[in-house]
Parts: sequence; structure tokens; C-alpha cells
Amino acid sequence: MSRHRDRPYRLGATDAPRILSREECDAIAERVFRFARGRGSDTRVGIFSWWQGEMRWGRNRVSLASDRRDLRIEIWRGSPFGSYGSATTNQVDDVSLEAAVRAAERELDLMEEDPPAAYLPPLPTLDVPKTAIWSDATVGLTTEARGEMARALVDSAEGKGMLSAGYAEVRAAAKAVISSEIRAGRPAMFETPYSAWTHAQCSMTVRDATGTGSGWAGLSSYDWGKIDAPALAERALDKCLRSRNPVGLEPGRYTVILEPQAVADLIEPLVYWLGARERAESGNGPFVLGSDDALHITRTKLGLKVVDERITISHDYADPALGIVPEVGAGSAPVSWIDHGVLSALSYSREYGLGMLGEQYGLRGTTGYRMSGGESSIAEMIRTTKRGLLVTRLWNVGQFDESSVLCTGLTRDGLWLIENGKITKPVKNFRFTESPLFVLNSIEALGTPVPVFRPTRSGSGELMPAIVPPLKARDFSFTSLVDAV
Amino acid sequence: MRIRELWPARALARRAPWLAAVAMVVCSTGASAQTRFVLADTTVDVGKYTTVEECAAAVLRVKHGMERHERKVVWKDTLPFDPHDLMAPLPEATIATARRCTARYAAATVPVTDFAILFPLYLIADRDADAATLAKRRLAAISTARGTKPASPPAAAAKEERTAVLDSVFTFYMDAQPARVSPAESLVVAFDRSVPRPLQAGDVHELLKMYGMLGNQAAKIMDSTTLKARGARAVALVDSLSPGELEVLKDKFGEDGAGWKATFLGMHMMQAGLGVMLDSLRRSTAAFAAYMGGLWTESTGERPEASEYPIGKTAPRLVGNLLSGKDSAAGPPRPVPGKVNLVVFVDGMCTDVVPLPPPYHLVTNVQHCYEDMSELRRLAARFPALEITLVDRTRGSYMYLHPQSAAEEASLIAKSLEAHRVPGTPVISASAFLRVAAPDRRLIPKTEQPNFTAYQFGKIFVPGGGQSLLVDQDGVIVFSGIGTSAESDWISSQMIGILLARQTASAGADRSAPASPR
Repeated sequence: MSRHRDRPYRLGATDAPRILSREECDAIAERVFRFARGRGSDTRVGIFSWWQGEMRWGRNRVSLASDRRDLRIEIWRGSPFGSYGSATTNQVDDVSLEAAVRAAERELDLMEEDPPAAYLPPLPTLDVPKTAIWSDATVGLTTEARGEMARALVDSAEGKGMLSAGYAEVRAAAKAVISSEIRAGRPAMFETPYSAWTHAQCSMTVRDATGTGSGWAGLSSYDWGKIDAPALAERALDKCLRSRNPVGLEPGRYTVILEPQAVADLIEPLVYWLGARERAESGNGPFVLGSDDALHITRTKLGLKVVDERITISHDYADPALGIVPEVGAGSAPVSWIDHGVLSALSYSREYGLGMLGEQYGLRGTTGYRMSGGESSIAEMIRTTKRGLLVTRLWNVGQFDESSVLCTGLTRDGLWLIENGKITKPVKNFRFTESPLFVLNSIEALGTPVPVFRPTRSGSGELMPAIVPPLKARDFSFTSLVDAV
Repeated sequence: MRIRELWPARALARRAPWLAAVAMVVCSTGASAQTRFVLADTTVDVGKYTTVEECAAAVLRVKHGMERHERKVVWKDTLPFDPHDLMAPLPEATIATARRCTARYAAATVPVTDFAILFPLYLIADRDADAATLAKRRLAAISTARGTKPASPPAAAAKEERTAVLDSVFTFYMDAQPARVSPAESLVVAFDRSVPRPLQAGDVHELLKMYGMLGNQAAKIMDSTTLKARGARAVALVDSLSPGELEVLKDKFGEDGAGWKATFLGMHMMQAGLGVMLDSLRRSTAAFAAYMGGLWTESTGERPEASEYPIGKTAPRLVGNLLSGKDSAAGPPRPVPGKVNLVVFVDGMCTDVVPLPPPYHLVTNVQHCYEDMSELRRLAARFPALEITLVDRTRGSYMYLHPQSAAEEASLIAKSLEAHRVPGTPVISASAFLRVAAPDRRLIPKTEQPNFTAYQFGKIFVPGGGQSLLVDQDGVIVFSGIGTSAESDWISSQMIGILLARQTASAGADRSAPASPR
């Protein structure tokens, strides 16, 4: 008898579902519940399924075309509010599920037997925000379509004698955590409601054969329909062609026009600190004000102006352009971390919210954010610049002083000198040493916010979108020349 | 190499680290032998194990299993603490497993690098002589390395390593079952003698730690001779220090002075013995307070009145502005006048002992809460006349809930105490908070808190965290730290018994006294 005879989910099969539906998750959980025996009344089943299609190419040749899918089933056996043993499998046939249940029970048997909880008030019902995080266009991008797209993108560069490298990815994922006790109407730890989301990204670098010019363009979104791959390719090619044979320039302080991607790259370390209220109150990071000897607390800069008043950094679950995966217990209200330049919120856990603020919810961190902009276009910024630099993106940005968020990194894939309102020549890359806080306090103009390339996923694999404007700032500090393109 | 890092000796006496060690080792060794999704073969012959780590895992697994089995048969939570338990041998199955598994390891030839794992295994196997041999070889390895290798550690490093090894051996002895008090005592005495004179503060600090552990163990098994002797030696060690070294020693106990004062007082109490202390209490609370004040002066050099223990002070009346008694805020005054009282400042964590993952995020399991509550139940059962008051306050949240009012939170706390069957009358007060202006909005508990402020006597006794006070029938505080741990069961029982006997005697005296002439 085949061990996997009844397996409904076949890895690699073309007719298999890409991710599991809510009903399929429920059905798996019900089957797992039946295998439970022995100590521990609760069986908790976490089901995480994902599908991912990829296309990678380099030097105008495709090096990877994949269509992968998998699932992970985590099974916990134990007593509600007590010890749990756990085991993980990626097989959903009865034999495998039962074996995983037994493995979780064996681990539970090795654990200390906790005294039963004497009193458990009912768990609060926590809001789960509704958000737009699903795109049929993302899921519908077939392997063939990805191949055709890559061919077209490569052709555009190859036609000009350039070398192209890039990566495109479409992904769908779903998760749910289901508890047998909660399903039976008894108190137990928690369930995570079923949620499914999509994610897409495309980025491309074009270089000339002699290695003197490089252009890049990229975008990530939950919706492939919002990613115009040919336009990205055209932009990367254009930047490459215009960045060839750069000249060296003296390091120093320059007025800079940062394209949206460069702004996102620069403020990433700052965005991290917006999500760390507990750390700030422990005396870490840029938002520490000092100790309050009267109240015996560490004051933060909440309520104080920290950047230019034109800057607002916020998120809203209902923002369809962002598409944030919901988090139970993090609240559902829109948040402005920086509101017209004033630090108005720092994110915190639900534990902190209960214990320190007397609130039901935590405040979710900046996994997705929108930064406010202005009316200027990049062309207008260039026109109004007497001498400055146009920056495509920043790379390898690292923070080396947390109190000022002083960072260092490199410019990359296109840097041009602007003289008397015109781009005059490509210049060699620089290493910069600058703080996003200083830059956001030296703004001369802001453009329209647009989605940028932020493919980083959170620990549980959810996307972290960002919408960021281009900006023009004065006195940006470049500290040395870099030979790399 | 820090030996203690390999197998922290204190972990032998604690259950969670046992569990972690077992889980870690068992899981890692088991995984390689398993086929995916096939039930593991649990009928393993330990004789086939080839490494000391596997051997340790097997022995720990059996030991842990036996302990679990015993707890299922007898839940000692409900029984008085029995000092003989500490001296009882391990179950035969555990000893047999350790013997079988360690049979191939001869103490004279086994690599000394396995010392930290093998030493406690030898003790479990009742191979004490082999354990001693291995310890000697481990100590010799230090001097060998120092004497022969060109890149040998400097003398200071060798001394540090030697101290660490001795500390490990000592702790292994103390944590063993049954406790090896005699070899541990011999070891610490030998170590004491081997330290070059004049003594340095660091040496005395290390020795005090060892003598303190010996004293604790002696108190647990009611070995008054060892207790007194080691207390006297500890006092003598401190007395032998120069004034400068004494200050260095005090600094090692922490900056606020509470650490060294408590330690020095403890040494003097050990030296004097518990009998004298109890005899003074039998006489009167005033005599007891004077005796303890004298010990304070002797150990700290401060006036008796400066004692940071509230002994001899009048217990302030408790305020239950949210709840006093089960139903209302209108209960009798507490501590109850004319009765012997135990006032327990409940550990806030003990009303929400449930570990919760995100998104609820709550405290990790607090095992000591269950033990504290069990001890209270034992005391209440043994001394029905004892008035127990459970003092707590609101915190603005309760477990994973956000109560709408302080009254609701007090009700949740009371329900929790009741569900845990904690005997006593809850007295719950509303905490006063400041709300920092928006956007900060933090709730800051005010420094002045009902009950908790009134009972704040000094740096050593801080109300909360399960701390308790024994109050006599006249409302005078007799002792702090009473009751809520199994180890203090004996002394707690003695003191409560004495006070209740005094209460009964005075009631009898009142009845037999002639009526006063009108």
C-alpha cells in the first residue's frame, strides 16, 4: 500500500492548487484532530501554503525558470495555556499527518507537566483588519508568460548591445492556525484566521559590455498588474546608456535629487526605528529624548518635530495601493508615525499596549508605509538645480550610529551631475555618510509618491510595501569615490 | 573553558533546564536514527550508547520519567515539606541506568574534558569515589597545563579556572540527590585552607557563596551542627578582612547595600542557630525584636533601629478600597487585631500565570507561584487560626484582557485567587496612575500606592513579589519572608506555632485573671 495514496496535494503536479483554500485548511485540520490521543486536549494546526513562480536571467540568458509550491503543516499537541509539543510535516496523507501528531505527542511527553490553569477569563475577540492583498493578475502569470516577458526584456537590452540581468517573481501564500478546542467552543490559546495574499516583483539591471555604464529599475507590489515590466526594462536600459563613461567628481556636500527608490533605500533604517517604541523607552535609537527623573521613565521624542513638516509617514490597512497583510492584535486604525514632521507614534506590541498604555491593541510596525510627497516632478527639480547630483538608488546602506541614524552606503546604477538646470554628465559612484534624519530636515522639494521596490518580506513571509516620493535635498554628504558601477 | 557552561550545576535541581537538556540532546540524537514519519524506537539499550552526551541524555530521560511518574502517583504539592526527601536515594531505575551507561567510563582513564558531564553521572550512579578521582584529575590538568605548555595561562587564569572547577564540583555535590553535604563540606574546607593568606575580598566572596549554600542545605535537612559551624566560619572570614578589603567585598554584593547586609545578617543567624531565635520569640515579640536588632548591629555595624527588616514595627492597617473580603470593601480591619496574621503581598504574576503566544502575549509560566500558593494552603490547613491576608493592587490590565475599570480588574484578580484556592482574604486596592500627555500616553504608577507604600520599610523588604509578613496578635510585625516556599516551611511553622501558642496562652490568662475591682 502506498503511504501517500490518499494525498490530495501533490507536489509538482500541474493540476494541484497553488495554495490551499480556507475549506481545504479546515478539512486538513479536521483530519489532524481525529488522530490526537493521550495527554493534552488541544490540537492546534498551523497550515502555511505557498506558490512561487520565478524567472532569473543574467548576461542576456535565462538562468532560472521555476514554478514551485509547498506547504508546511505545524501540529501542536498539548493543554490549552499549558505545554505543547510540536512537529512539522509537508505531507497531507493520513499516515504522515498521524505520524506528525504522534511526534508532537512524544515531544509533549518529554515536557514538564504544567499545573492546569485555574482561572481563565474569556479571550477577547480581536479585530482582524480587512485589506486588499490579492491579485488575480499575479496568480495568473504563467510560466510561459514569464518566459515571454523575460525574452522581451532581454531583447530590448540585447538589441542595443547591452547586457541584461534581472529577476521576476510572482507569489501567492496562505496561512491559518486552527485549534480543536476553539472549534469545540472551549477556551484555548488562539486561532489565526485564514488569510491569503499575493506578491510580485520585477527588477532589472542593464550594463554595457565594457562595464562603464549601469542602469537599474525595479518595482514590487501585491499586484503584477501594477508592474509594467517593459517600462522598467526601458528605464534600466536608458539609465545604462546615459551612465556610460562617467567622470570622477570630488567628494563633498552636494544638493541631491533622490529618485523614489533612493529615498526608500535611505530611510529604511529610520523606518525600523519607527517600529520600536519599547527600544526607544529603553534608551536606544534616535527617538530617545532623555530620562525623566520625576516619573522615572525614559522620555521619547513623541510629540516633537523630528523632520521637515512636509513629511508624513503613515499606513492604512484600507489603502489599496499598499496592500498590507493583516496582523491579529495590532489594531486596524490608520497610523501616522510621523505627522507633518512631528513624531506622533512609535509601534509597540500588544503586551506593551496592555501593560503600559492600558489599551486593547498593539500598534503594528512599519511593515508597509506611505510617505507623503509634493507637487514637483523630477524634471522640475533638475531644472531648479544649479549644481547637484541625480541619484538612482543607494546600495549596501548600513547604520553605524543609532542615536543619529548615521548611515553609510553607495550610490549605484546611475548617478549624474546637474549643472545649471540640466543633466550634464554621468559621474562615478560615491560612498555617502549621511543620516536620513538630516536629509529629511534639508528638503528643498518633494515629488509625487510612487510604489517602490521593497521586496523584503517579514519573518512570516508577508510583503512590506512602500510608497515613496522623489525628493531634492541640500548638503548631502558624499565622502569618497567608488570605482564600481 | 568554563565548566559551568557545559552543564550548569544549579540546573540539576531545577526542572525546566532538565527538560531543555533532555529535549535538546534526545531530539538531536534521535533525529539521526529516525526515518521520516516513522515512530521512534524508544526501547533503546543504553549500553549501546557510545558518547557521554548520549549517556547523559539517557540517564536524564529516565530520571525525568521517574520524577513524572512519581508526581502522578503522589502530588507532593499538598504535603508538608519533608527534609528527609533531600537525603532519600534516587529511584533504583535511575541509578541502574546511570550505572549501566557509565560502566565503560573508568574515572582514571576517561578524558578530563568529559568531567562536567561525567561527574554528576557518577554521583547518580553512586560512584562517588570515581567522581572524586575525576575531580582530582581535572584539577591536576590545570597545573599540568600551566607547568608544561609554553603558552600556558598566567597564574591568575589558572587560579580562576581552579576556582571554577571547585565551584562546579561543590555545586554538583550540593545539587545531587541525595545531597552530598559531607564531601561538599570537606571540599569547601579544603578550598578555604588552600587560599593564600591574607585573604582577598574575591576569595571571601567565593567562600561565602559556598558556605551560604552549605548553610541553606543544612537548614533544609535540619543539620544544626553544620549550620552553626559554617555560619561561624563565614563570620570569621569576614572579620579577618582588612577594612579596605571589607569595602571591596561589600561592593561585590551590589551597590545599594541590601545584598551584603542580608548576607551578613544571614551569616550571624546561622552562627547563632535557629534555636536561640525561636526561644526569644517564645518569650515575647519585644525580646525577639531586640535579639534580631542585636544581630543586625553585630553584622552591619548599624543601630538596631536602622534595621531594614520591619521586625518589631507596627503593621499598618491595610486599605482595601476595591475589595476587602470576598464581597465588599466593608470587611473587618486587616491585619485582624487580636489574631496572628500572615500578610502576603501577592506576586502580580501569580494571578496571571498563563503563557500565551502572540497576539495575546502574556507572561511566561511562573512555577514558583504554584509552589507559593501550595505552601499557603498547607499553612492554612495546619493553622486554621492563622489569619491570612492576600494583598494585591490593580495594574491597568489583567492577563490578556483590558478591563474597563479598576473594580472589574479587582474582581478578575479575586476570581483568580479563588480559583487557585489560595486561602485567605483578598485585600485589593486601586493603584493610582499618572497618564503621560499624548502622544506618549503611558500609564505611570504613582510612587504612593495604598498598602504597598505603607509597608515599604527599607531596601531589603519591598512589598510585592510574594513577600510576606508575620504579624502577632498585637499587630506587631514579627518576621518577613515567612511561609511562601517549601524550604522555609519548617521555620515558618515553628514561628507561627509559637505565636499561636502565645495567643492561646494570653487568652487563657485573660480568662483566669481576677476581675478588676470596680
